[in-house]
Amino acid sequence: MTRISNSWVWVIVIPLLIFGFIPFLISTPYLLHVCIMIIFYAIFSLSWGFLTFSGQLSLGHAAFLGLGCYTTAIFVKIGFPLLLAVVLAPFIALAAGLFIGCVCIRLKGWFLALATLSLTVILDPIFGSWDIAGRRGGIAIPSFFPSKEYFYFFQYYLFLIILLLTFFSLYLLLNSRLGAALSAIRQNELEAELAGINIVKYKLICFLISSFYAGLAGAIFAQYVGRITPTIFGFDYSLMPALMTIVGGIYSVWGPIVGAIVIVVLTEGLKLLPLYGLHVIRIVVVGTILILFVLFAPKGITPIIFNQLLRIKQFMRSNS
Amino acid sequence: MLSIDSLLQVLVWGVVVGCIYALIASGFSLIFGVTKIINLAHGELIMISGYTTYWLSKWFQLNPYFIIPVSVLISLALNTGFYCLFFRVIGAEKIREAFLAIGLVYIIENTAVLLWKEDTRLILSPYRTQSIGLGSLNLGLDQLFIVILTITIFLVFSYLVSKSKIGKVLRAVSQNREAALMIGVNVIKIDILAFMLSGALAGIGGTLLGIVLYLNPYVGMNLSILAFIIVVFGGMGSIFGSIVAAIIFSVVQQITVFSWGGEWSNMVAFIILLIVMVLRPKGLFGKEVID
Repeated sequence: MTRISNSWVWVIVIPLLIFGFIPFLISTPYLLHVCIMIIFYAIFSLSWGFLTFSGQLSLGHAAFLGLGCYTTAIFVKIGFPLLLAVVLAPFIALAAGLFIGCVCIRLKGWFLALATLSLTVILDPIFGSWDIAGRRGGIAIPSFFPSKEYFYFFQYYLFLIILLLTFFSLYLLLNSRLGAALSAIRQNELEAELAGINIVKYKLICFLISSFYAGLAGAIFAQYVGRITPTIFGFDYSLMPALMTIVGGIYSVWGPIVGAIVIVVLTEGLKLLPLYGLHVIRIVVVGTILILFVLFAPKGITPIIFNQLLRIKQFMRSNS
Repeated sequence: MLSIDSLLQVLVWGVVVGCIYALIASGFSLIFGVTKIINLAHGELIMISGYTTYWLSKWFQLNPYFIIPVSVLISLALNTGFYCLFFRVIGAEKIREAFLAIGLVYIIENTAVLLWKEDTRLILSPYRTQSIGLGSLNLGLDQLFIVILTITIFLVFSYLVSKSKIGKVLRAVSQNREAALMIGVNVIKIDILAFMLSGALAGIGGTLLGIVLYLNPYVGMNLSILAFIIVVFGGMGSIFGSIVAAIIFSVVQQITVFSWGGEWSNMVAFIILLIVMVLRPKGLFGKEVID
């Protein structure tokens, strides 16, 4: 037994080592930027993926992301220190989640998706016409690291730490009673209720945690990009985490991370090809991949990777 | 503020746009009612058929109203293709179905951008400048045609669904799929029929949309979401509910645009949606809440 758990530790330690030393290996700002985007999307997708554990579906997760961004920006603008603003921002997203959750948690699948989608559509013109939020032009946010030289280096580690915190806290939550309750609800709501699980309570908790982490992703994203405009509430930002979770592997904490790596590397890689109408072709490719995954690998990449790892391990064991 | 005259004008405009919304939403509702699929790629069909009419009427210098049958056929064939190639394969699982449709949206929308650029286009109808004055009201000939056409289509449609044999089978499948299967209905055939009918409605809707409003490659996704909202608002699976909801929705939207400006139009619509979902989850004319 110890042997197996020892070998599983490597699955965690090796990626950690690779990710931990990336900034020492690459110094090109562009490549570091790509890595930071991967981590940002991984955090955001983890928050989206957590919601699916309870069988709920959100088509408007950008609402919580955008609230995180705008709260950070506006708090800094009215005189709060940046750190405090970043800490407070997820709680504002959580409050919005509480509002939408209390109103709509009894709505099932599709209706909840529509409700979150409506939240993005409602927030867009509000921030787009609010003077403090800079109307359509957006609002500027200072960064944690003003120095130009090591900007990407420090940002990378900030994002990595937040990713680790998100990952391990969600991992622990999913392995607790909460996780068991959520997957029971996902598999059969009626049976879960008969088993004495308070469905509304657990769904609401799941929704709140998910919106909290989306707000957290937004808060650090805001201080990284430096300017937030209402386009943050766009449908693209809502779809991205869903896309990554599905490609990476749904109902798994690894899925969103794997998906974020695959999709960001893919879209950035397609930028290198000298083609006409690049941006457009990129999205066509992403759409094709999405369809292929939905049709042929509905569980995503992660199970495939894990199966390969298992096979390697069995092979090693049989040799030794 | 609004004067009575301009209010009337906005109301008429709202009804005209509402007719188009009704055509779009009833197709969406039909697919949902029969197959329980939320087809988020429905709007793309409308975009494609709008562009079909646009190009055909431009190349051959034809009256766009005469091209409607062609674009109906094209969108009908496409929708049947979507069903047979994709939706039939994955079965009923809402997350997969949603993202399958979104993948289709990505592909179609961006191929359209590649082919036709991002320009906003209008289908030029020969009756564009003609209008009828009714008192202080000014009614464009195109608008009149659209309202008449929509009413005719829905009359024919409701006759088909309520009286004909195939309509009865359609209703049977939408009310209880398993029971229909048990009495020997070929459910797959009926599903295909629903997709075909919905494609036909989308073909008409796309052309009319291009005549009265505008076309661009990005119009599809918005229309799908709009159709979804209208269907939730009017009641899942009720075609009549969708029509009423479409008109209410578009009138409210036009009044908002007229008095506050374009960017608020969606917001008011979505607030109405939220209120409806909370207070009456089955929608205005729906009979049951469906997951």
